[in-house]
Amino acid sequence: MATLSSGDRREIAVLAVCLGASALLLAFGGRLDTAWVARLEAGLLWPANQARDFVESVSFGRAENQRLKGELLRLRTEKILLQQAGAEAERLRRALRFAEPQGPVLLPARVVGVWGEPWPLVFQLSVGSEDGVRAGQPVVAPEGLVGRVAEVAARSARAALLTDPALAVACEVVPGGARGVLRFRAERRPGLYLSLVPLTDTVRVGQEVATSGLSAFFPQGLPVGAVARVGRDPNGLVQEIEVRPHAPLGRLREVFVVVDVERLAPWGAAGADSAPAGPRAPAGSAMAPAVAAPDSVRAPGGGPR
Amino acid sequence: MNRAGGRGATLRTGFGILVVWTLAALLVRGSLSDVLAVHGARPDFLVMVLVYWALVAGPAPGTAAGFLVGLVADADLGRGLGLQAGLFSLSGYVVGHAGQQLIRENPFLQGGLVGVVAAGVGVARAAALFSEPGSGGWMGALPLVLGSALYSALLAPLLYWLALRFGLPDPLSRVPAEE
Repeated sequence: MATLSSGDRREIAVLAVCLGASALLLAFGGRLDTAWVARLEAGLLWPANQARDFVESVSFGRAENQRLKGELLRLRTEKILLQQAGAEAERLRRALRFAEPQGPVLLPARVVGVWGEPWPLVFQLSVGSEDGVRAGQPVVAPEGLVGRVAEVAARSARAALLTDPALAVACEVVPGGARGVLRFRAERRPGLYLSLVPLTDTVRVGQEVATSGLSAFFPQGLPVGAVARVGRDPNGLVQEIEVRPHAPLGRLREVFVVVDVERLAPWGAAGADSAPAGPRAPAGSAMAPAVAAPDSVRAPGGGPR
Repeated sequence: MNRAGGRGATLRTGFGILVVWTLAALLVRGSLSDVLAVHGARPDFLVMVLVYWALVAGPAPGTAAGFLVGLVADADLGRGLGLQAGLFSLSGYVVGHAGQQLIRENPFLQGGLVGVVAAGVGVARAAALFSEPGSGGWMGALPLVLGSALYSALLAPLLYWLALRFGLPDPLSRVPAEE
């Protein structure tokens, strides 16, 4: 039997110690706070993000300006139409004695880090509990739902994206109302799948998918994506619908955390009363639910913007 | 005494290089991952750092470095610590030995090791991600995992070559692996 040299023994000892420590951490390390590592990384990434933003603003500023001017003209026209429609809806609501809708209040946040290989799973956000962020709050982009706040520190937060297999969202197909549970799956083709939809519900490719409001965390009506493919679950009992998300999860630099109206009311100039009266999202945007009035959108780390 | 002191200084310098490389990898990954993505495949910069450092330093420091880099990767993912720390430790040990047995300056060897480690870590990571009840299987993610591993394997020697072209010192020729 060959004897091991002292160098070999040392190498094996180091390996054994590292593997043993890994096993111990795997078994008992669930309660350790690791958020400080992400905060440290976010701090280290801050200068790089600033430099990148500067380069992008210089490179794309002109083209963006032209595009926004066109967008502004279109939105002004739509604003007039929406104001008319809003007034009509208000009259009808009063006539039918319906309750005032409570629109979500959006807190802008910068994406200061993207973690996860090979696909993005986690965003590190620039806002935290000091800004009113709480675990479980939805995270959206102008295009649609992005994910949910998973962990919160004082000035930063970590958001689990829709691509996280552990994140399930109660959704419905619009129009039609076919309900199911949206989840990232990778049995055959990695992607978002709306499962548990009964075979009796008719769903067509291209229809919109939005949150149904049946889950504890996501309010009704947040746009998520569009139906890309309709198929059957392997057991053949329910439909399995592939959904293409609206939000470009790998390219986002700014997102919004959906903060409760009640929570913002004591801080912002516009509270629960004024939020529903704020401007609606433009028809061209996928953000269909009521967006808070500009004065109720809080700037990160401070008072109302 | 002198030999031990010299060895300690070399290791300290080596770990300094590791810290700098890891920070650079986190910086590039965190801020440029969307730019570098090709059809969804993204290079695994932490694996690149580990492989090159283990080639430079040998099995024992490679194992320890793998553990530390793996802990960072675990903390990033927010799914508890240990899994990637263990995988990276094992990878550091294997790559460290490969660096002693094979011609570590060979770019094909470097790329091959990066590809194999990235594929192994990627598969284990995907399996762990989909281990929760209701999340289904993960075999569909295999093409993406292997594509990312191939991307990493191609990119790593290129980055190494570029670093040398820009005048950075060649750690594989200057710092001997442990005997």
